[in-house]
Amino acid sequence: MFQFGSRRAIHSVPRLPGLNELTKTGIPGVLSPLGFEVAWKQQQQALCDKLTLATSGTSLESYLPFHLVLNTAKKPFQTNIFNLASAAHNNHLFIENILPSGSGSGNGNGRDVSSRLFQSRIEEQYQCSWDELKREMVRRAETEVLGQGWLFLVENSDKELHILTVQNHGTPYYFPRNQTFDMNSALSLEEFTQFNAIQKAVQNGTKIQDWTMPLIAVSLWDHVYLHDYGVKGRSKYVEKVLDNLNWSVVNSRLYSGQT
Amino acid sequence: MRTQTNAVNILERTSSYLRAGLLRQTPAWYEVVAFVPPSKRFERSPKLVNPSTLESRAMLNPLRAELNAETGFFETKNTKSSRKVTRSLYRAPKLKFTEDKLRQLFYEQHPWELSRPKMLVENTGTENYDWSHIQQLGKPLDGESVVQRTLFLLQIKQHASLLDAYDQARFEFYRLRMQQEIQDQVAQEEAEMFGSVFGPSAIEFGLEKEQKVIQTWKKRAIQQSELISARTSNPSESWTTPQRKADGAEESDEINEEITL
Amino acid sequence: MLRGRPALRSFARSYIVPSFEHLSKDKGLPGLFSEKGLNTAWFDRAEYYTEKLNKLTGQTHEKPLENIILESAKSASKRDIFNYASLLHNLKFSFSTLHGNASPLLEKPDAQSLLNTPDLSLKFQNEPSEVGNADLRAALINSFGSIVEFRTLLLNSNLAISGDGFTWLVARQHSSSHAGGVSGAIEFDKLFILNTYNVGSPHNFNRVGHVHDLAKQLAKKEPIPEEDTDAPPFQIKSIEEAKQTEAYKNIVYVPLLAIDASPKAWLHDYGVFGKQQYLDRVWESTEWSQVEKRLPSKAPSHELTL
Repeated sequence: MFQFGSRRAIHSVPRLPGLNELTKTGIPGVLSPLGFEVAWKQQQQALCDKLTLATSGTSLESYLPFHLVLNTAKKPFQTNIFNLASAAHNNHLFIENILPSGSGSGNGNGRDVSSRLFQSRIEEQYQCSWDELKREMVRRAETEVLGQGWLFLVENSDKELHILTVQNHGTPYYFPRNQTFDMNSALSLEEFTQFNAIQKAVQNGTKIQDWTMPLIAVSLWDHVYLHDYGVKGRSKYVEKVLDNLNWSVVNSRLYSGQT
Repeated sequence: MRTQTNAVNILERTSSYLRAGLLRQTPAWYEVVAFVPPSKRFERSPKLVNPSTLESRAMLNPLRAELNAETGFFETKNTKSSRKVTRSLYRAPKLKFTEDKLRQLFYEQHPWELSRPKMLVENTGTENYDWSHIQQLGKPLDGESVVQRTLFLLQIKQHASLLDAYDQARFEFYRLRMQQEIQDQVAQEEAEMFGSVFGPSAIEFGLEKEQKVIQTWKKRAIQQSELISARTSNPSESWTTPQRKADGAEESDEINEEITL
Repeated sequence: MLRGRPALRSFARSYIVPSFEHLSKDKGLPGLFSEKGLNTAWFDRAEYYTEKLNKLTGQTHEKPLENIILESAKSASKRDIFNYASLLHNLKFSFSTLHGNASPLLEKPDAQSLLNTPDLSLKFQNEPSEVGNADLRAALINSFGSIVEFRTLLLNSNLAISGDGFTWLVARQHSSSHAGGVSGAIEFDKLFILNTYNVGSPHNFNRVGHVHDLAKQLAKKEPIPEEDTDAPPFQIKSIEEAKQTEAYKNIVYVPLLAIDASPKAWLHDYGVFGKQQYLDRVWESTEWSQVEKRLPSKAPSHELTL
């Protein structure tokens, strides 16, 4: 997923298909050219460089960001590396699922749609359409993530779909580091119950297995939307992202039973 | 002694064996050795320049041009000094680098810097860093950075003395370390404030282990002190000692086993 | 989501978007923000948070923000109100001391600036001076050792925040018998630097025991099986737990200065790589006399001398 430069220890920004085109046009319907420049090129560059600075010369230097996330998730003293790796990985997930499909031009009506499998999954589980789920996702992002964060639609090991909101640099892959709860304001009893359960699971020392996979990732970081949508426009931006998903990427992330 | 060439000719020999059909299979090492063939330079060449200082090691004193009044001859041979020079010409020159001194000084002053894990496997070997800044992409910030930065500062003549340059590099290093340290603390605090859950820390793990030992010890200590108090409170103790002692010994053995378990 | 209660009263009382005399919409803040940068960092946010707050409170009451923060900090049902009140308060606080400086705005730094060598100077522009802010300077030197140490700690703490948050300079109120102060004035013994994240507030000492209460409620709901009894007697508290139970026990922190870490503040003018430069400029733009005004009188038992 992530490529290395010529040198082993240096993380470099993954090259996107049709990058030249994207630089000129931005991501149609979602980001302007300048917005794309900040959201992907600069931000990813910053994350990669910081990650390189933090890991080079240590035993972590030749890991991919995804492996860094899993490797450092349980070590509180390596949170900084975890943050950077998780951000780099999530940002790549995000940009992949909003890339215009068919990297050429003229993707207005050639836009592919969610697969039947995906729609039937939603209907089975939530008895609602994708549009309704989309509205719910926008709502959750607005109420649950006040600062920076991520909005995910994830598929867990039982092949159920869930909306997951994540604060700052949390990761969807390991639930004690989801960072779903904002401890800076009051917790409700229900949230505390969940939190307590996670704490117990970790304290027991049993091996935690979390096979959650993200299907849709939406960045709620200022870097992505601030330039194009302004301070008040985050919900509008989330809507736009969900309307302009690259479904071939999302569909391929969904578990279909075939290997 | 005759120069031994058999070993280094192994590639040629194997090639001809292969061609002639004496060997059917190409040996596993064949391509590697072909790629990096062994050196065939056997002559000892004089080392005219010391690579660490780039100073010439073979300069002879100039001959005196005028007549030597004592002997009445002109000087035509550089006898004494030439012997000295030629004698050392084939020896490995003593390598002296400023870097080594700096490195030693730095790690003497900051012994804990040595406790940081370090990758010993080299990357490509050709590393060209621009030391106009102390941080480098692809190189961890460590004592070596300070050393290289010091040399750079000397080179661009920002400081006249080595120690001044070293001090500047050192202080830059400190500032960055401070930044890293706070970064690590804040990142952890931030993660916990956003609901991250970490397992027991190293200290907690240690405490738990310690606590287990303390608990067995406590059990044993209580038994022992009960034993002692029983012994001292009961005067008849003195004539039934042998048996009791045996009991006591058995018990303590049991406890010992528990502990080792 | 938003509990939009219909306004029952005939007159609507609502929060007014805060404003400062030294900030104007069409000028920017010299040396710190461009016009658009200031709009994003301050005007838009202040407006947005106020709007939200008004919507949430249903325009029925107008308590001072501090009261909302104090009263609703522990209540999950009033969380949204608390969140926006706290955000607004923090933002207001951080902008109240930013007065701009004389230097021109910078170009946005590029990726290379991540490798910049730190500045080694021991004296910086716009330090709390000995002439104007003698009290503050003395207190800072007494608490942190020197102004350079204070500056390094303050700016590095903020730089390390990866998401939203504020770095605060706070004065710890004397906790023991002096709590009331001799003449009713607040007294402090030491200054500290404190980070809060997202909507966290330095005022939330009244959140003491929030998690503890929740744990009790939970225990009532589902009694814990007996296994807990032979747990080792020593348990180290996590940072969060420590904060909940220990840090705010008898202590009140009086905030003096806040620095905003949110990308909303620096992204527009300084770019992705420019947080360090933003912080340097914030230091130069800080109005120390304003900070000094907030400094409570010092505790009699402590000699704050140079």
